[in-house]
Amino acid sequence: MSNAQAVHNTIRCHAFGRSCRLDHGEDEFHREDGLWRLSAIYEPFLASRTLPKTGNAVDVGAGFGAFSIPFALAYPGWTIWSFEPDPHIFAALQRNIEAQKVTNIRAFNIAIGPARPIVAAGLGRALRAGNARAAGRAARKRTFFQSEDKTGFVELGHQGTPPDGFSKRGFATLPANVLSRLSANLIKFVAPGCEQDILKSAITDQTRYVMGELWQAVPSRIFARHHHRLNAYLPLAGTRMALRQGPDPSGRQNGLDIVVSGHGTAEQAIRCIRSLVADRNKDIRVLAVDDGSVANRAAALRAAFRGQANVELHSKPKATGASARNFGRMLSDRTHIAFVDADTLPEVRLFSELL
Amino acid sequence: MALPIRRFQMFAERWIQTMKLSCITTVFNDGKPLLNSVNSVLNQTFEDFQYIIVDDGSDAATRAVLAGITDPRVVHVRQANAGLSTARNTGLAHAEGEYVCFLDADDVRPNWSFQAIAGKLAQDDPDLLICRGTLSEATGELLPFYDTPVFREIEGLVDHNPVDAEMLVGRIVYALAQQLEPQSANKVVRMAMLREAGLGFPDGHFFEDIYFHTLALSHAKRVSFLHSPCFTYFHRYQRSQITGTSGTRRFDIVAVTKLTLEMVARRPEFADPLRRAAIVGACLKIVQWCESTISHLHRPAYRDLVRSMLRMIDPAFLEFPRPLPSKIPSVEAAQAYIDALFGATPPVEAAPDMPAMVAGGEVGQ
Repeated sequence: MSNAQAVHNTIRCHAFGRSCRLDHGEDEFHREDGLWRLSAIYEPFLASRTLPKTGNAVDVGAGFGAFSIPFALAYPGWTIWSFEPDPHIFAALQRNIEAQKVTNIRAFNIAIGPARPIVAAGLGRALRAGNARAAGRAARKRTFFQSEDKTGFVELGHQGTPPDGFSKRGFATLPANVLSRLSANLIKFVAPGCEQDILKSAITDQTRYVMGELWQAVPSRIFARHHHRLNAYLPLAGTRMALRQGPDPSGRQNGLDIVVSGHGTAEQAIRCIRSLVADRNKDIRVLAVDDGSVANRAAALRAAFRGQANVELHSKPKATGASARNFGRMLSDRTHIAFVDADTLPEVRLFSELL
Repeated sequence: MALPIRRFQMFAERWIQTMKLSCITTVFNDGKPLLNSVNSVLNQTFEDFQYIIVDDGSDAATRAVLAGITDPRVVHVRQANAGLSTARNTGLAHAEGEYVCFLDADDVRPNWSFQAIAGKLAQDDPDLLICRGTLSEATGELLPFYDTPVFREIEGLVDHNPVDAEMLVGRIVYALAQQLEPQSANKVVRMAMLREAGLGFPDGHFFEDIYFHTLALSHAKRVSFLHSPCFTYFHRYQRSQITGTSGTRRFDIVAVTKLTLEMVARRPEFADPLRRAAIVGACLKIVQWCESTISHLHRPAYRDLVRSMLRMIDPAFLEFPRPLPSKIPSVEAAQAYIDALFGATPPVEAAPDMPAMVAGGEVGQ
C-alpha cells in the first residue's frame, strides 16, 4: 500500500475519552459499520458501567480494531484477545496495533465458529499466551458467506448455496467454546450466525460484561445461569429491540414474583399455583395472598405447599381485590411482578416463556 | 484555538502541584444504590481528585452506607436537611480543586471521564467545560443524551476547539451552549471563577440547574466542549426526581426563571439580542414542560404566574431578533408560547412523553 493510500484509508476515531487515527483498510462499509457500532453500542454501554482497572476482554469480529484499539488505550490494565478472520482487515488491525504502540492486544487471524465437543489440547494455553501460530495450527477451515459489496459483513455459512449477493469464503476457525479458556470478564462479539454458540459456551463465571450485535433472536434465558452477575447489551440488528441484562439499581433480586389472590375455591387455587411452579423455574416465586373469603382455603394451601420454598402463603383477612394485590406488591422484592387470580389456570411455562 | 506553547507548559506544571479536580455528590436517603455512583467516581482511571459527599440529612440506612465509604480521597460532610441547592453549595465551600464538577447520586461516570476531562482542561484552560452524556432509558435502551444534536452543531462550528466569549463565533456558540441540558453532571467549572462571581446554586429553590448553567456560561470567558460522554443519566421508573413530583413544586421554575433573568440583566450578554433570546428560550422550554406535566387543576394558576413573571422581567428579554434564529429552535418555541399565553386561546400541548389525551389528576411522582 502506498503512503497516499495509507493516509486515505485512515479515520479519526473518538471513543472512551480518547482520540486515535485508525487504518480501516480499503472497505468503506467496514469503516462506517465499525465506527457506528462503537458510538451506538460499545461506548454507551461502557459509559453506563464501571469496569475494574484490570481484566480480560475478548473481541470476536475485531475488524480493523474500532473497538479493540480505543479500549486497549483507555483501559491499559486490561488484556484483549482480538479475533478477525478476513486477512485484509486483519492486516489493518495489525497496522493499527503497531501504529498506536498498543501492547495489551493479542490478535488472531481466526474466525470463531460453532462450539465443538473436543478442543485441541494446549489450545487454551496457546491463546492465553497470544501464540497466534499455535492457535492457527489448531484452527480448521470452515465455510462462511461474505457479502460481495459489503465485504466487511461475514456470516456463518453452510453447505448449501450462499444467499444472493454473498460468496463462499473459507476461514480458519476455532470453536466458540475455546473462548471460555480465556476467562474473559468482557466479551464483545459481532459474529452473525454464531451468536447462540458464543453466548452459551464463551461466558464463564468470570464474565461480567457482554456486548455486541445480534442477527438472530436469542432468548434471555440463555443468561439464566449467569444473570445475577452479568451486564449485557446486544441490540438486534435492524430493530430497536435488544437483549439486555443487568443488576437492578435498587438492589432488587432478579426474578419474578407472581401474586395469586382473589376468589376461587381451595382446589382452584391449588391447581393454579401448581401450574405456575410446575416447571421449577428458580427465578419464579408465588406469593399467595389469602383474604379469608373462602373457608379453609388457607389451611388447604398450607397443606398442599408445605416445605416448598418457591411458594409463600400470606394471610390478609377481609382484603379487597386491590388491597390483596397491593399487599403482594409490598411483599415482593423481585425485579418483576405478575398478578394472577386464584380461580384461573395459567398454562404451564407461561411465565417462564415470558421471562 | 491552540494555546501558545509556553502558556501550556506553565499550566501543565501548575497542574502537577495543585489538585486538579473536585467532584461533589449530594445524598438524601438514596440508600445502597448510591454506591453505583460513588464507585464510578472512585474507579476513575485518573486518580488525583477530591470527592466531596454531602449528606443532606439522610436516614439511618443511607448513613450506614456512607459510613462504609472509606477511600482517603473522600470528604464526608453532613448537614441537616436543607435541599439540593444548599447541599451543593456546602460541597462548593469544601472544594479544594482548581475545577469542580457534580454527580447526582443516581448517575454514573464512565471510567475514562476524569482522564478525558483533565486532558481537555490542560489543553484548553477553559473557565467552563461542558461534556456530552449518555442516556439510559427506563427500558434499558442506551441513547445519546438529549442535547447531543446541539453538541454536533457546536462541533460543526468549532470542531474540538475552545471558544472565547469575544470571538466572532463566540456569540452563536455561547447561544448554542445555552441550549445544552442544564444537567449538573455535564459541567466542569473553574473554582476561581465561581468564587469571583459569587456563583452557587439558589438556596431553597428547585430547578437550580438552569440558574447555574446560565450564570456559569455568563461568567465564563472561555468555554470548551468535550465530545466524549462523561456521565450517564439513568431514566428509571423508580428514580425519585425532586422536580418529578406532582402538585405545585413545579411552580418553582417560574421563580427560578425570574431570578435567572434578573441576574442576566446585569451581565454584558444582556446587550446581545441573540444571547438574550437563547437564554429566554432555554428557560421557557423548562417552564413550558412544567406546565405540560402539572395537573389541569393547577394549570390556570400556573399560567397566570408565568404571565405575571413575564410582565415583571425587563421587556428587552421578549424582543427576539428577527428573523428568529433558526439555529436556536427554543426561541421559536418560546415565541409561540408567549403568543399563546397572552393570546385568546391557549394551545393544547401534550407532555413530551405522554399520550396526547391526558386525563386530569396529578401527574408524575
